[in-house]
Amino acid sequence: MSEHFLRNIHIKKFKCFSDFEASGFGRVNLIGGKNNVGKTAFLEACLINIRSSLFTLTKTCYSRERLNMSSPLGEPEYNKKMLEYLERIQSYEADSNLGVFKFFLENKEGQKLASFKRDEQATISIPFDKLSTDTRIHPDNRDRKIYYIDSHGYLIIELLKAFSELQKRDKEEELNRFITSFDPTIQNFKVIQEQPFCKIDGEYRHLLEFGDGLLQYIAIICSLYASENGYLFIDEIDNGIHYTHLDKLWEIIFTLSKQTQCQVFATTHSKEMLEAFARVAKKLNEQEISYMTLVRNKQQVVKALVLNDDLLQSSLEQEHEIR
Amino acid sequence: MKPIAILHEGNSKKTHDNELLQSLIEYLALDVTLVDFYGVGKKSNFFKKEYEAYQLLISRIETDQVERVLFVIDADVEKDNAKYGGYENTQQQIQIMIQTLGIQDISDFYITCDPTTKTGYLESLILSTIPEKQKQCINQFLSCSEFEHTENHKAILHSIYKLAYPNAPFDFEHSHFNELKDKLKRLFSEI
Repeated sequence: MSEHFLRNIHIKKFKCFSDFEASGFGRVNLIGGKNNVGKTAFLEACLINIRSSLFTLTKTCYSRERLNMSSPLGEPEYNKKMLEYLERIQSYEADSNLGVFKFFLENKEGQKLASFKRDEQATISIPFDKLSTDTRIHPDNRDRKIYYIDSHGYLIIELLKAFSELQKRDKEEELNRFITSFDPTIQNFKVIQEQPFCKIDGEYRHLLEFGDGLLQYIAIICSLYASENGYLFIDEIDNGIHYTHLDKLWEIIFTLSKQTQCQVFATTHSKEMLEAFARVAKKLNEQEISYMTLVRNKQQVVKALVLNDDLLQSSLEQEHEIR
Repeated sequence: MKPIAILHEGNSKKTHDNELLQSLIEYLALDVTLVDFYGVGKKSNFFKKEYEAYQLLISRIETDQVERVLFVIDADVEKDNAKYGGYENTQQQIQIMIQTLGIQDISDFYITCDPTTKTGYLESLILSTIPEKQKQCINQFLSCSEFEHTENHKAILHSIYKLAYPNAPFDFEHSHFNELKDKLKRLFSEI
């Protein structure tokens, strides 16, 4: 497995996690669990650990609040929302095979401070009211390409950003081939005047005129290319996608993620999605996968059950309920 | 996830490997949907700490997803296997394994055999519950046949039993099922 992959994480403080450990992640990782058990928070915690920056803490806030993640930094509206968000979460602390990142709020001599620590570097404290979305604390891991498709799917501007990365790699033809296999009536995908269009019956129609499933599908493919040697997080991967396309989707994810060495983390509630994941992994003889279920123990503490390919196949063959 | 785990020999999806257990659970009006069956394959797998079914089971116990465990294991015959064969050896070895796994507080075991001879396997238990005359016929057939391997005996017994008693697969009123019934009732009562 690639050196840059996240293999384990210990989340000590963040949202619903108080002392949470999980390990055994592969290149493609599917995450299940009941509502409100922390699947999205887990994705966010990994994302923050990988990037280790205030900016990424902020991004998770944007995602939850449906703000445009590509908007200019430092805008008053976003600064306000970020501060509200940081006050709500109060702290973040996680270490992994990739590094340590810690954020906490504290009061010192009557002053409210936001403190940050990354790896072995000294803790840096900044007056809370001086924080803004463009504050840079430590040199962050900018070289790590990360794409995050939240549970609402990409905004158009986010899709276009991922698509432009795909264009840089001259992969438009591959994208069109995938789109045609998803819906044979679509002849072509094109960006015209900074808007996405699909050609159908000889006429270009805006992507938003099509179903959410197509947008999600295109978003995943573009992001797999864009996050070469990086990471792709997909919250509720099955959003809008018909069950008959699930095997095809996993084939694309397994194949492209191997090609681009992109590590994928995706959440789902769907049994069909999980079964398709296992079925395609078996068909492609994929070993670098994991399925993690988040559960609460009797003390209501969130814990992880991580299955590798063998254990996943074995559980499904025995028809165990593992979601 | 389901709070009860029943581990048995064979494959959990090959119906005759846990058919009797499922039928008895239903006969006792217990909720079979609370159970995940773990087919552990051959008997020797029960005594391997690193066996994959145990990996799954332990992680589920550690996170409180599985609350009670029942091991159902054949006694077999001591002369066939000096370490794991026979009722007493099986009892001793499964107790050691349960201790090794550290799950003795939530675990129980049932050794499948002919309760009168304390030897054999699931088919021996079933055979012990049918009238003596039919039982002798079947035993005689088995001894006359040239199928000497245990697995052949099991398959033949299973087929003969199914053919002979198609409408009443198991006589759960027979006293030889009492111990298993008690263990199952206890297993469900503690959830």
